[in-house]
Amino acid sequence: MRLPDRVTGLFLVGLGAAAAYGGWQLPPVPGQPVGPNVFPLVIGTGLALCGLAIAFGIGHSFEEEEELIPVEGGKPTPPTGKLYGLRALLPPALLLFYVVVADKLGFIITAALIVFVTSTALGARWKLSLPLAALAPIGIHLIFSKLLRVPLPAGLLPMPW
Amino acid sequence: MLKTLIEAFALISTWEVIIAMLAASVYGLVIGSLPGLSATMATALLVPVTFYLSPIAAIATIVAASSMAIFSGDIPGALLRIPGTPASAAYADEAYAMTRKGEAELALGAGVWFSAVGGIAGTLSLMILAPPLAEIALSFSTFEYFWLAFLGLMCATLVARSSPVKAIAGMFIGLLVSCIGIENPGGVPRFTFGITDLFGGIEPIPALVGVFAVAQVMRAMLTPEPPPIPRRKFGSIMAGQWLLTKKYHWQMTRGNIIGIIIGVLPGAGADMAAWVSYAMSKRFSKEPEKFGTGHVEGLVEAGASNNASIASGWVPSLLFGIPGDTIAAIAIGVLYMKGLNPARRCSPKKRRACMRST
Repeated sequence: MRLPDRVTGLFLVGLGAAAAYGGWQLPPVPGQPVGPNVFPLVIGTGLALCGLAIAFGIGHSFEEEEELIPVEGGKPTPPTGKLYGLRALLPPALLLFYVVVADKLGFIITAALIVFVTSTALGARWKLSLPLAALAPIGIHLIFSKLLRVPLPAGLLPMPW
Repeated sequence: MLKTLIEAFALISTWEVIIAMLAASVYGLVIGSLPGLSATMATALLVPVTFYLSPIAAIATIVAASSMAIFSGDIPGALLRIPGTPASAAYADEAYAMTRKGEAELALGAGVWFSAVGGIAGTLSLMILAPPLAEIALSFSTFEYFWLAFLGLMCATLVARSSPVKAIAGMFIGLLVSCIGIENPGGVPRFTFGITDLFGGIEPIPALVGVFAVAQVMRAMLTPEPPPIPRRKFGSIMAGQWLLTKKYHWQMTRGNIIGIIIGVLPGAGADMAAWVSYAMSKRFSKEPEKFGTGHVEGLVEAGASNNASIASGWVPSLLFGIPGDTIAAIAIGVLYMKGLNPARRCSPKKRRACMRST
């Protein structure tokens, strides 16, 4: 999935403008020339300028097309559906899912769901992904609670240790 | 010099450090040899683990894992023509051509042997170069540090292989993320949107894991998996390496020196060293027509170069706090968390300790 430069550039202009505006709203420190508003202003302006440059294709000539190394014996043909590109959004979506759900469901159940979905999306059969989803969260839970001493949310399925 | 060296050896010769180095090496070997999982990602994923280690062990872990990962990136490069790390990309074609000629052992062996030689040469250079440069770093004041930080940020845009405008935009996004929180001159919550979790700012570990690890998983979602390798018996990979060393000792030395120089430059890391050395090797070779057809000469020089640059890349990181590449950037983060602040706040003794762990 590749967005055209124009879209990315305009998004950056928006982000930069928002940052600069947000910085503008912050109160200055009385009697000091540099307050909390300076950095967001500078960064936001710079970001907006870069966004404009990207949208207008400045510096495009420096870019190299990513070289796909041909593989011996049969080229890998990536399936090109419209929805295929959206798969890239799966990992961040799953992270958000974890943030929202982890406290209620607990680590084990949430992680099992995430492992199952990720491994299936990466091409594992259910014979592999189901055991993986069952065992991997327990292993990770052991590492975190025993080795690293980081408590993970217990939720519906607390672990006996 | 000798005294600090002995002290440094005493610091690292504890069981904890040795076991940590061993485990990190195995881990780096595995991650580096998996195509698509880069040395940077290996290092980023190690950061949470280093939290629970002593400072020396933490640095040893990072150093061991990163140099192992850079070397083991040669393995899929030679066998699958897919470089495991960007640093191996320069000669992946050459190594793969050797594999097709049935010289996979020689290609892999050259990777191991000359990487090791390069690493040692880089470490020696670090030991020799660091003390005089440290004298300069000690006399720096706020102004110099500002410009140094500025230089570091600019170098971040140099390493990007894409357009510089996009690299600068990326740098601004990073700076914007670092604005979040209440750590600013006025102590006002900035860009927190009323979420209390954001008051402390975005910590480096989640940022690193997000940028390097999650991005890699996202990329993996879109790339098809590599085809399986046909099975065959492997001979000893170290056979014939000593002959190569004697035959190509000049190329090896040149690779080491180029690697050291490129490593010392902030912002230019192992992959650039490998490309430059490979090009240089071809340019000065007596038989340039053999390059690209499975000729070991370029492999020797570039392999020696990229590992030398990893070690000497610690010079700007430890002295000025400017990362030589992304791995060093992560390592600097670890140093800060461990209270071993690079640049002038790092006491000479501790700095030597950091140096020796390479």
